[in-house]
Amino acid sequence: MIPDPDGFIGTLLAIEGITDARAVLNGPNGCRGYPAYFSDRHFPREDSLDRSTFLELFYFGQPRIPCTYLDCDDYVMGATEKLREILPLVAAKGDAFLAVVNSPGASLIGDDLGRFLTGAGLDHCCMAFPTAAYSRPFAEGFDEAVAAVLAWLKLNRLPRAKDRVNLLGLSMYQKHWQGNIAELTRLLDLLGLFVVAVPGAGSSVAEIRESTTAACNIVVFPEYATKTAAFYGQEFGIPSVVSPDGAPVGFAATESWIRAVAGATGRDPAPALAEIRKQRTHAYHQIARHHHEAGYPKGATFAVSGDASFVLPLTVWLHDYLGMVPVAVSCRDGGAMDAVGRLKEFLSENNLSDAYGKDPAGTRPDIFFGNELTGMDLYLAGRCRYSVGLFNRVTSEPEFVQKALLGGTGALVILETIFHAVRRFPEV
Amino acid sequence: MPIKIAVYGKGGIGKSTISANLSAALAEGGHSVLQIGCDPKHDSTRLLLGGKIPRTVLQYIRETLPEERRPEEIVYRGFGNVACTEAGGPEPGVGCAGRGIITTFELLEDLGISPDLFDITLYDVLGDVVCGGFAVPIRGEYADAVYIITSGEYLSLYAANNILRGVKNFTAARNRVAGIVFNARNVPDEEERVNRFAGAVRLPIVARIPRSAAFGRAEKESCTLIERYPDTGEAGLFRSLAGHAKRVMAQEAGTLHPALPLDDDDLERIVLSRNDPRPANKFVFTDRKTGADRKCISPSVKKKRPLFGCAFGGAVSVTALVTDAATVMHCPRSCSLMIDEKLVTTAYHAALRTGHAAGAGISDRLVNTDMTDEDFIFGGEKRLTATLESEIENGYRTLFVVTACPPGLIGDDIDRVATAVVARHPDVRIVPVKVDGNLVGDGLQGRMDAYKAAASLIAPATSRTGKKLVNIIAERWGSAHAENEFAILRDLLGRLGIMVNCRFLGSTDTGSIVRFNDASLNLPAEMDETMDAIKTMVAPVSDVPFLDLPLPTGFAQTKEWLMAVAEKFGEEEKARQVIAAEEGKYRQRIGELRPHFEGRTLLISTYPRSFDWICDLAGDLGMEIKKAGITYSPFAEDFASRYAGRFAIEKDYTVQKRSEDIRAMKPDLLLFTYPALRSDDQVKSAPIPYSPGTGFCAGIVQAERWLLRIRHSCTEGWKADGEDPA
Repeated sequence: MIPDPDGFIGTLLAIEGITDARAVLNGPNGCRGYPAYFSDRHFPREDSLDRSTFLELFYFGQPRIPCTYLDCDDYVMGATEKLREILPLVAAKGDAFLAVVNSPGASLIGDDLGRFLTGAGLDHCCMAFPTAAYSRPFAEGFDEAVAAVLAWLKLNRLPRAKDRVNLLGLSMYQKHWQGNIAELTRLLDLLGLFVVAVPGAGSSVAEIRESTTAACNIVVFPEYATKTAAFYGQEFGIPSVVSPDGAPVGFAATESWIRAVAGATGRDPAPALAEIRKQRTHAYHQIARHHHEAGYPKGATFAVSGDASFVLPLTVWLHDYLGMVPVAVSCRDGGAMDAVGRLKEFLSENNLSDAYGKDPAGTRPDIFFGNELTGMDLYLAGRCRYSVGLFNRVTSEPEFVQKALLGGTGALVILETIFHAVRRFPEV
Repeated sequence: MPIKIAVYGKGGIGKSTISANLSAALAEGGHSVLQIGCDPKHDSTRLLLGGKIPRTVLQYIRETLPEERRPEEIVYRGFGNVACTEAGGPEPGVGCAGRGIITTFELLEDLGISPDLFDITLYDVLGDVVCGGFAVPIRGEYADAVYIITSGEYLSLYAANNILRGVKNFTAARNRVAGIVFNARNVPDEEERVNRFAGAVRLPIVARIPRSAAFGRAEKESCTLIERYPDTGEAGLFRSLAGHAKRVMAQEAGTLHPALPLDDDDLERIVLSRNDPRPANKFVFTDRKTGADRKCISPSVKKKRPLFGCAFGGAVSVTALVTDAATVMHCPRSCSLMIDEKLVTTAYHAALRTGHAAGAGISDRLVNTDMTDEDFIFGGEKRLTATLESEIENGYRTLFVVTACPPGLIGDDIDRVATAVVARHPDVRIVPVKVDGNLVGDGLQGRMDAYKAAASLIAPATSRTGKKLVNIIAERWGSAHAENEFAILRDLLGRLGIMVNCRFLGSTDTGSIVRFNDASLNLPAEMDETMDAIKTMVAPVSDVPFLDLPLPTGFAQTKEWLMAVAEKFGEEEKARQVIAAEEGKYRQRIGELRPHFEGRTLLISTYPRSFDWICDLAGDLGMEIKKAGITYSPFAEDFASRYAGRFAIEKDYTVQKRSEDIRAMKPDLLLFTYPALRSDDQVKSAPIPYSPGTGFCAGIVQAERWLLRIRHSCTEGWKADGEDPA
């Protein structure tokens, strides 16, 4: 079983990722719980102790993703009354943008969502998703939803400025997503670039409307943004850049990413590369003093499962930089086939082809990188010694200090995690 | 200006023949036409295509990858250059044809097959407005005009009236009904009936098509009349109808009308000219079935309240506890994700906190079918069969199949699949749990249904074995302390020489469920609606008696419970010895704690579940209970206490009322369950744990926590930081 959220959750979280937007679920309460808690925990906005504002029907005390709580009767008779009731109530909260999304079951009823939006006089601020990417990869659903929202917003063609860029392919689903954005924004600032918008990951509707002023779109994770980038290209002629070495994971891929962005935007990469050099030096001093005489983490095994554009640079970096050994490497379905191809090449060149596609459970890696749930399961069953989450879950540990997985700072966080982990290994 | 026309009518009324001839006549008149057949039997465009049945859109979707789809592979050129396409549908009896129509429209749009490319787009739609999917063509963004085909038969007119209802539902302001096309069947009083109906709904009859052998001849030659017999009078009628469509297209005044459907009584009175409605008499059941045969239902389902969680998740939470059985979740991925995460994280945290790894491997035995949109249309039985076969290959011999909403809505036949799979693997047991997402109800309902399904595994009772074996029934679900509590319970029972036969259900195997009837006594975890339901469910397969007490928390309850269990097995003396040994320890600890609590006041706010253990403990500590408030819970409503009458117990207790009581009573300690305290609730407080523990010392553990809370400051400083000072 693939224990990842699917494209339906991707659709909901793409909408929830817009700061002043709210997803409305036309579906049962059971479908709502996961994405609602996910959004509230990983992108908190309302005061969760002030429940009085969200005690009414459709919210049930949880501020995110109000829903029509469909039941058996609604499936047979349609959800007309509930849709009529919920929309004005939700609109009264004053969000800049709303989107009604059908749950898998609701998509079978055939309720005409557009009619209710028109009837409620909300068709200017609320769009409808009669269907979503049910059981398809999260990233596909996210990408399609972001592209659909951009199209629906009817963005204006604005004068483009050379020093403005958008970051595409980032989502609250990714671990430390806000720290990642902060880190990339910092590096881009060193290139003299200003981030206008990160659609679906913390930008407001107004910022998204301004996104057409960008000279270039930087696609961090192509799996999450192929359609979105294509939309900007076709509608506004905004080019996009994807780093050939994948996302900026680890020092080398971050440097490659900086060069790719600098090349596409005509900037001098030197200041940003100098910053990475500083972080490399810092890492050197730590590693030189704390690596074990037995060599760990050199020789420690790892398994990784995730998006190809993350898996490629992480695998290469852990192998080349720390001497760790990949024993199970897998990429999620959908997108970034270039990265998959390069990953296979890399493994082959290093006589590690066997690792591709292997089930981590069978390889008993020292460290598992991927879905936290799989990591917990492996750990519980004694099938891995430590797990590092690459994606957020509803039940993820709270994060008080902002961290990152991307960029130079992300590389240091990953190194710190690995060194903390290997110190627990009894043989070290 | 391009126009979109929907032709609706009862199945078999001749709307495909009329649609094809209308398209042909419009094409003959020089218009570009797209005809979309929206009937699963996909023969709308057959006469335009010379008898060929084209590949349908839904077939195409099934056979072609999204990136390879091309418009020219589903749109065919028919007579007069009419562009023809057929939605098609799933095999009869499976899937959801309505969903198929929705998907067809989405694909046509994705492939750029836009009505804007044609002068006229004509939707030929199956009969009645049977569900939302078939109503898509009359939505606002589709049909500009609707023609309704009817004969004078009552059911045809009934369908016509229903179509008007559909149009009315989907029409905000503008008129969209172009008129009635009367397709005669030569039944008595036919013309008059149609006239009366048309008059009553204030619609014109825009064409009267007589019953004619010419249609049969053209049909035999797989052609429209316009193509094969263009000079007949009947062909002329279609040209006339095409003329009407052109006037509609030209937005000529008075060509479109509002939908004014009749209610059922008026329809019968007007169409059948009958004014003697007979009263409906209730059927009297002389042999009413009651009790065990009736379904056990949760409080929310009983009262039709908003449902929390879904039955699917509830059911999986129960079946997943069977350690040697696979739970096959027949659902889209997002459904399984939610419950999977809950189960795995509970197991993980339980392992971290208590060292018990009972949840290890839980993900291995959970599998989903990953239903996609395509399965919604064509049915998910093949995917379910493949998943079951795969899990059998993995070694599972007992498999639960739990269904989410989509398979329930499209009518996947789970029993048929299970029967076929078992026929191939006679040593396998497949237990369907057909909760259909939340179609049967909430999470609690799902748990009840899963217990019922698990009860089907219980082997019939032969004779009482008399063994000192007990079953533990419905342990509290989702508690990270479940295994610790079970260990305490097992120890207590062991001291009486009693063994646990089956945990029904809590981390157990199939064999112990099968041997359920080996036990001499059932020990219910709680005394609530769920337990009542389980008693009802197992009654047909088991006569093992239930103890009339829940699992105990704290000294007083444990003492009473242990004696009650001991009496059932004639082990009273052993029980007295155990109690005596524990009482000394308990009294000593209470003596140490009492000075900190004596004379202090307590306010309790809890959802409906027994708090007698709190009252027992408070009494031993010398505390005074001022009041207990019982808040609403969707999962339980029955509430009883041995302490009723000793202090105020208020039902329907709200957050607001709790805040008022805190201000008015100023209790020394508030014990509460969800919802959380408000920022301005100034009171020392302690939560009532979801699972407060089992056995003699459980209360002591809680009292020690209360003591820490009583010594703490009332309100944590962080709570003041939620709002910006501005």
